[in-house]
Amino acid sequence: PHTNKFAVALLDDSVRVYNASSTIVPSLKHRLQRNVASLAWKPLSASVLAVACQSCILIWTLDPTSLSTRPSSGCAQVLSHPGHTPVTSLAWAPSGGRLLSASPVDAAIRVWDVSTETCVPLPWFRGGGVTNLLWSPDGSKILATTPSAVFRVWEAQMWTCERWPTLSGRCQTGCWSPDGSRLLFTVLGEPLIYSLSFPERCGEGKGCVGGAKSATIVADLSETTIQTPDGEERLGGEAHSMVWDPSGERLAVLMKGKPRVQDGKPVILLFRTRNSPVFELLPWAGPQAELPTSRCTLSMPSFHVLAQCLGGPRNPLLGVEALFMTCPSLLRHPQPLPLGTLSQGHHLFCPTPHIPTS
Amino acid sequence: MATAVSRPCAGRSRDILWRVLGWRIVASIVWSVLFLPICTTVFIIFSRIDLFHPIQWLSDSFSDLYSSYVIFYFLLLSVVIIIISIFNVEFYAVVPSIPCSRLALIGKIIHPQQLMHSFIHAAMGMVMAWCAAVITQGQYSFLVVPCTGTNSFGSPAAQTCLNEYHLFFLLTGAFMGYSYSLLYFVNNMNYLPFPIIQQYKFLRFRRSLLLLVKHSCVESLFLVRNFCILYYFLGYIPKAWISTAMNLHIDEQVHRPLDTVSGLLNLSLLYHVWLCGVFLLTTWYVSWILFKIYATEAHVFPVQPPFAEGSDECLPKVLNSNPPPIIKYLALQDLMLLSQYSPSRRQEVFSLSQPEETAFQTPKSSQMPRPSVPPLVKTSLFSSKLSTPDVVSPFGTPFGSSVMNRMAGIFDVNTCYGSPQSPQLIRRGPRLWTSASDQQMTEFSNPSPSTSISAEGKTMRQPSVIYSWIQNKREQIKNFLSKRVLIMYFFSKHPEASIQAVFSDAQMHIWALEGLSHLVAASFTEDRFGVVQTTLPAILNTLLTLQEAVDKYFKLPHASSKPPRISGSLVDTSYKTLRFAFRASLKTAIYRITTTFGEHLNAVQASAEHQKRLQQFLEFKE
Repeated sequence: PHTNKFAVALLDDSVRVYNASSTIVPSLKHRLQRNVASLAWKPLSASVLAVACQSCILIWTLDPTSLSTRPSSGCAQVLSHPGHTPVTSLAWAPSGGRLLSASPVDAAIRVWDVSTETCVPLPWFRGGGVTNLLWSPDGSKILATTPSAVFRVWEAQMWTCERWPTLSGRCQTGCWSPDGSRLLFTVLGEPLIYSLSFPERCGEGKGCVGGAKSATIVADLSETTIQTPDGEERLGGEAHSMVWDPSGERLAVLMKGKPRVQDGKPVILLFRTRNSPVFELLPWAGPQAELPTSRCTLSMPSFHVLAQCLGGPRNPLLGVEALFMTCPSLLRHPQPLPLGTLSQGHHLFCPTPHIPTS
Repeated sequence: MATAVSRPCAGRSRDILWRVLGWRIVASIVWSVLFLPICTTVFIIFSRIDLFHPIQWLSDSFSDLYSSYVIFYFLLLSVVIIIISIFNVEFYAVVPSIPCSRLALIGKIIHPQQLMHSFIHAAMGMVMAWCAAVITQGQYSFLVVPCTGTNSFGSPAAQTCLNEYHLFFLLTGAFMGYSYSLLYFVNNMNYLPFPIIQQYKFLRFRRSLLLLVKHSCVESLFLVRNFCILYYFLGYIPKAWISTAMNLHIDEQVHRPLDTVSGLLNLSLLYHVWLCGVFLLTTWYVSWILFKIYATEAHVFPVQPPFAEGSDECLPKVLNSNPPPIIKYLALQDLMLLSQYSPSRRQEVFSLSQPEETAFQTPKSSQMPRPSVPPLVKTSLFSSKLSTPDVVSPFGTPFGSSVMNRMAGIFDVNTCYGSPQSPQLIRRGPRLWTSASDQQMTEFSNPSPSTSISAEGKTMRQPSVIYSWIQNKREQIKNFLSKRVLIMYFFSKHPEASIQAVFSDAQMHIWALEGLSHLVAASFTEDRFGVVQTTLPAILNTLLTLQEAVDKYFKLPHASSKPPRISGSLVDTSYKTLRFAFRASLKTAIYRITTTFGEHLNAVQASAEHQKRLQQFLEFKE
């Protein structure tokens, strides 16, 4: 979260760490590292990476100044608990102290203290395991989605939760505002973005989530036809994942590819947002003000797409660094697409001229 | 320290202890007593188990519950639980005492206080086993029964015989009580680990209940097995003694004597004894866990005292004085929580040095902005002592580090005996909170020439002739003894245990670090008067010095190896890995400050070396 580094998990159970400022690509392998489901960098540290594996969680401590391409297994710490396998989702606390892990088999979320290797299970509920964990940037709340039509919002002081049943389907994705007071989420099967607000906490020293009574719909992403200088284009559909930039001004939504829209290619929609005094979500008009939405279209000729959206902290204008990689097979090295990476996060390069650069 | 001064200090510390912990202790005792009827009911149900007549079994159990004698047993068991809880309260420790050598471990067990603890627990165990045996009814209820065998005299004179089953029950109870006490001290169960996340007490209790019951069942099985072996060999002693003392006969025809293999393989007896063990262990562990949960709950200390009388309990006062350890721990935990979660209390911290304060608060105002800097400054002193082992190693290099440890161990043999402060002496620092007089004492007892006496800059006393002769003799004796393997077996220090002992109170420092770094990070946006930011150079200096010392310490041979971890056990061993938590939280604290302030830190006054390290942190190269 602080440097321009990212980690990619490959199908051969290894993890590679790419650094924008060096050509060395350390490859992390461990005998327990199988079926990697999730990766998470630890905040407030130089190079601590948590890897969620089939049977355990591995915490890799990488020396940022080392030149080795194959860090030894001694750099990895194994966190495991019987019954908590496979681990599919990880979330570090923004203050860097605690790690949450979730497994679809184990209904309880576990809170780990990594240095002492102790864990505490949170109260568990029926209804399947937990699929995804998302911590709010201010460290106060956690969104926990489940495979059923319910998601829970936990507060991080006394660790109590609120239960939110959705109308249809499970919560597909969510993102928090930087101050933790608003949650935007989408539901599988619906092209809508919902918003849930959490007013200031009710009392200090007491745990309460304090969510509003119901969620409101703030955006409708159904398919529409847009007139562009190149002709008609269709946009819209369901959201696959969303990311809010750390300054709270930009929202990026990755749309699922649909056959009628853009020939099945995934699309990113960018919105301008404001959280105070009132919440508003507007399509982002870049320098080309005549376009209702700025969108970037990227062609991705592959069937495995690993998209990792990182919010760059030094990025006031375009708060998203988006990186697209193809990892089709074990044999080929993953290559960044020609329209991939950003070095300092100010530009999103793209061959099509529609993208506003800033 | 004059005794006149120490007595009010002791009185004040007991006072504050009672005020903070008083209701917690009482509440935990009340809840453990209230849990007793549930345990007893389950015990009765299981002891009357009859799988072929389930309805009768359940109805019999419930009808037994309402009989009057069960109420009497409830009262008796409540008294037992209260006594056990009082022992929990008297023996708890927030800093674990880690014995570094086998001799220290033996010393810990045969210490008079521990002996009394074991004796009382054995007695309570016997009382509980007696209650359990009587509640079970049947053939286990009475010690003395009329004999059933025919005698050659012809007249049915009622002779009384010893019921060996009952005796077996009582002795098992005593054995279990004693083993509980032994394991309590060996496994450091008097250590109070603070929870890594705050949760409501009921949730914590519910989560640990299942583990507790499982653990009691397994432990009871092991204890019964051990006791059977013991009884097989030594069972005739109590039998003979009781029967001669109470003039009873031993009836051999009704049942086989229990100190034979065939006698011991009585499944019904073993089941009931095991169940009695589970009952005993469960109720004792429940009272222990309730005490732990209540004692480690976060306590809110007022940052600003509302009245003049409440000033003893306010946070700056507690942090700067020397209260009992648990109060200090609770205060530091509160500081950590307030720095993360309470904007209004943080405002109180940042606002204390306003000029319009009342007069009596002004002396404290200069203390408040840096409540943690004094402890941290002391921590850095502590850590500079950690760095002195490097000075010792040239002394021992020809012999290897293990020999060096043993030599150091011999020197400290007198002081390592059972005292919690002693393990620190190998690493030659007096503990953080000792007074100056203790420091002088440790200088005398530590004749190693490369001591930190010079490293700490203390003036060496000119040894007198007699003193040096005594020292020579001591060294000669110790060199002689070091060649005896048996002595070495007892005195040699376990390096892992010594390292754990050095960091045994690290939890306090971890909280201080977290609280301080969160306050500094919050002060970037919330501090309107620059209260914390004026001390920023000092804070950064301290943190970077501490970071260097910790890095140096972790280069020692055993410091970075992790002890094996057992998951799913009732016994908490997190104190063994506190040093890693300390190192990680120190790094995170420095990163928190550097990421919040960013490039502004270049304007802070610091030495060239510290500037370099700060730059490394700013570039995320550490």
